[in-house]
Amino acid sequence: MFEESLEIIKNCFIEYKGTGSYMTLYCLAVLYLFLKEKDKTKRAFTIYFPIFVLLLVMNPIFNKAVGSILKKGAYWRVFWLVPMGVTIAYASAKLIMSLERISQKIIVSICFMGIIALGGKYMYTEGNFLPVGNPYKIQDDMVYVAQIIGADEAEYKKALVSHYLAPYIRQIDGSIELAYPRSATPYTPESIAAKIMRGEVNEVVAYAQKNNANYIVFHKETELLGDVEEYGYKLLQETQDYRIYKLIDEEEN
Amino acid sequence: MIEKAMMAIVLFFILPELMGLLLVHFTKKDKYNLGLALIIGYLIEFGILEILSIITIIKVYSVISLVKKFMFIVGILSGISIIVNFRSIIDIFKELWNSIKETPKILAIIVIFLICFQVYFPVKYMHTDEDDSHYVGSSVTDLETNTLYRYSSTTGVIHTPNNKYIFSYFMSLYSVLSILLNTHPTIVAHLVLPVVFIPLVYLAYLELGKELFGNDNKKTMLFLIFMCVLNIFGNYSIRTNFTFFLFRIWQGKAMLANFILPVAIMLILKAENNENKFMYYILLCLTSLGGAYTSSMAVGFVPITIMLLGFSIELSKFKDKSIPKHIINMIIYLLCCMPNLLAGLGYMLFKI
Repeated sequence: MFEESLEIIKNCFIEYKGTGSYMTLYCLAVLYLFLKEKDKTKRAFTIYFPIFVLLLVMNPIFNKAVGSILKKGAYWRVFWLVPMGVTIAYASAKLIMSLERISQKIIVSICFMGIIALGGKYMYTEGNFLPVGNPYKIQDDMVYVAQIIGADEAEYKKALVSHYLAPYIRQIDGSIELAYPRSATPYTPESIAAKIMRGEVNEVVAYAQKNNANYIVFHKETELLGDVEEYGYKLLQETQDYRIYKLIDEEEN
Repeated sequence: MIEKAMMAIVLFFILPELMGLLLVHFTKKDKYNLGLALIIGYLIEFGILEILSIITIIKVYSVISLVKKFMFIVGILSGISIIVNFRSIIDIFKELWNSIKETPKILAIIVIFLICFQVYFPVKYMHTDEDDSHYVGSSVTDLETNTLYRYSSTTGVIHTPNNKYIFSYFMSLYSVLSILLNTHPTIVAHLVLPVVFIPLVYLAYLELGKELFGNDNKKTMLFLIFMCVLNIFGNYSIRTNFTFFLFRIWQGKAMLANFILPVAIMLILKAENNENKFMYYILLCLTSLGGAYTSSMAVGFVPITIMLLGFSIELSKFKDKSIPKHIINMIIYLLCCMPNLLAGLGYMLFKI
């Protein structure tokens, strides 16, 4: 009955703890405080409270009860209730300041911080933070695509865009509608997002026409299986990574 | 540029500080605590926006009307605060000066450096997150249509609002700030809010540290240094609150995990450590309301934190008080959770 819930809890805990280094430090911090902390309120916060939290969130009955709100893909968020960072920091500061000499305090502080750094993972890596030239903090080329479409003379703007671009266009310009919702991902082979990625021009144009999309944007790396311009879409502009096509009226032609 | 900077100082510092001072005035012990006042000021703003956003979405009022109502209420509360605290202004600055004098300078410089280090990266670089197609996209859409949550953030077409977001529409904050600062909401979310919220979170940890260390400033500063280091190296999993804090603090769930929950814990500890508990329970209730604004998860997370921590404290002091007193305290904690519980009822029962 609760096998699925237990599996969700186990997987979410594994996802949350990562390498397990912080969890280990946390357990050591709780042990230290269990032995050394005398104040009842602080013992309640650092020892009893997390135990009750874990008893609750690792309980399959609780998982079943909140399953409709916190789906299995997000259940790991319940572990945010455990005050891991505060407890480690509190125990560390308490231990260090109990030492007598300043030199001891400095050395132990540096050692503790070194352990945290080695066991953790630095936040500010190139994979996580990239240089950018605009204040929107979105890739420059994506901003440029949105600005090109936004500046175009058409009053009505609806774009069918590459999956890479879809989450960002409307963060720049809310006047540009998008032809497919976020739920359409390229991982489903028959989705429009997948067809754009595969460059299936006739399918993409058919979808665009059905949904009244007057702009189509392909990534330049996509090999187009057909000629977009045969269907009435003319190349409006190219950016570093994208080609923007606009539907031209027959009258304009 | 100068006008925007001045407006930012008023919006992010002066107004929340004034509103916070209005409430902390009645705590007696923290009457002149500018740090706590600023935290409470933001909770007041979140609480006001929670109520106004729900009304605006349901009644299909405009975003502009939301901003006007928000500023009207904020203006009234700030004005009342000036009247209430006018005579205390010298004492407030004396308290601030004493705090600065008593703060260990070298440790404080290290803390400030580490906080500035963490603020530097979202200002200089970008961290992209596809969830912003909903969060930030909602605000851009709302400003484009002058409605709140009536059009899909991802496609731009009219849609039926989801209950979950009606009662936790944190995105209205980007819209309000965008209009007041005359700045694109994406810039407000990605560039401006990290500069405001990262230090604000550490202010919450400072107040929490003071409660844990009984105003021992050296220990509190060392505690903050460790918090900084833990956050900076906390990317051992993309699921941690540390990661959400430094990657996407502008999102409501990051504020819930890193600001609301620590503030709730801090206020419970303050209530335990003070004779004049009533006002801290009021502030705890306000935290519950502010939490409801940040994320739908607050419906569960804030009551769980308040009730389980409250229960843990009552259990640890079981022999110190009578059983009826323990029960009364638990009922008080339950009442503090009311805003979240009401929001939860809204999610389940409300139909737009």
